[in-house]
Amino acid sequence: MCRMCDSLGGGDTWYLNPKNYSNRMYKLREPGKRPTEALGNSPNAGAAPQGQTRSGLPEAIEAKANGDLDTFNKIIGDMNQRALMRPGGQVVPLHEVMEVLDMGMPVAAMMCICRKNTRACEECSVSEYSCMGLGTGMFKWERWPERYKGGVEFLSTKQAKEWVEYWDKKGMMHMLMQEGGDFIGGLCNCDYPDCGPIRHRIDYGLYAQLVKSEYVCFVDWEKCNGCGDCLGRCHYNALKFEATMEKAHIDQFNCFGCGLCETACPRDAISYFDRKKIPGLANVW
Amino acid sequence: MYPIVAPIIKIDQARCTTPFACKLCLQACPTAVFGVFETKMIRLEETDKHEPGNYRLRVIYRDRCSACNRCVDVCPEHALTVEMPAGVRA
Ligand code: SF4
Ligand code: SF4
Ligand code: SF4
Repeated sequence: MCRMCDSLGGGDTWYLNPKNYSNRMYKLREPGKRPTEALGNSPNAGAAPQGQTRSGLPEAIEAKANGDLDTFNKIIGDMNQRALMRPGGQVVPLHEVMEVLDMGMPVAAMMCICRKNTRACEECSVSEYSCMGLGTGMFKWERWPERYKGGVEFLSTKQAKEWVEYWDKKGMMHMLMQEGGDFIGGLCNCDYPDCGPIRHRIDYGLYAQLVKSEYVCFVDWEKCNGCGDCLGRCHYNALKFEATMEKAHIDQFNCFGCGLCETACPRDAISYFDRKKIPGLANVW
Repeated sequence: MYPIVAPIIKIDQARCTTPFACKLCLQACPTAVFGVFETKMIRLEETDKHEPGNYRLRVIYRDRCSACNRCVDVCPEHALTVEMPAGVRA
């Protein structure tokens, strides 16, 4: 079990538990408690526990860029310790995104803030929006577009499904994000390097911000004919063409179980396996 | 991993005035080293991207810069310089 299922799942997968989307949960912030700050945004985000550095990702990157790997590792280690105390985002494959959308909370498309900041992408209308907000909080976003960075566009369940499929086809993987504590508030379509959480995990080892999916994908070499349609879909350096075998090859330890390769394969040669049931991967989140 | 010292990237903010509208370097960098952020909000609203100074270009992921100089080449304002720190052999 990943730590989110542990604390929020009620014995099941956390994001398939409707409680985590409810209105009550959205409002349920302890009196006086501020929303959890995004990691790495500010060097002063959150007070540092005893004996830990107070720095964030900018300081870590500066240290690494100056060749000071000890400081880099120390800061990243401390950030991971702090981040483990609260939920993070999790990779979710397309078929489970569909299940989440079936739960029937309000869903609304909006622009992606990561892509805006890293590549100056301007997503101005629903045909360009790539991020999605879930739950009652969206009414607030709709009401005050200028406050909530461009506002949102509500989608029906059917529209929302088509919209996620569109991004899946384009090669974006899906991630559920919690907002301000334990409330699941966002469904992002992400890629490397535009997406902050993917990048922070892959490039800097901030593994608590983005947890791997409940699955890991395997290639059935009987079915794979080496066509290569899946290649280039993986954002995690897990999928390669194994020249010797003339087949697609997935590194089980690098695989995040996003299923982008699975949705691209015309021969059903790739399938999901439950991470928890594979002894050597059960603790690899 | 062995220590590698990353290049120094300098942004001349007096020349790079409308990065969110321009976005050339942001989209040219192979490793997406840069970030762009609003500097000003009026009544919680972002302001005109064409008006100088409303957005600021920043170096976010310097450790991922190779000094390939693609950003330097695309910048029409010659606002960028990327060089290895003094004393580091190229
Ligand atoms: S191998 Fe497939 S399922 Fe695994 S991370 Fe890569 S694209 Fe996703
Ligand atoms: S798309 Fe399917 S058949 Fe083609 S190489 Fe990938 S796994 Fe094999
Ligand atoms: S020199 Fe190359 S790697 Fe460095 S910031 Fe410019 S484009 Fe990116």
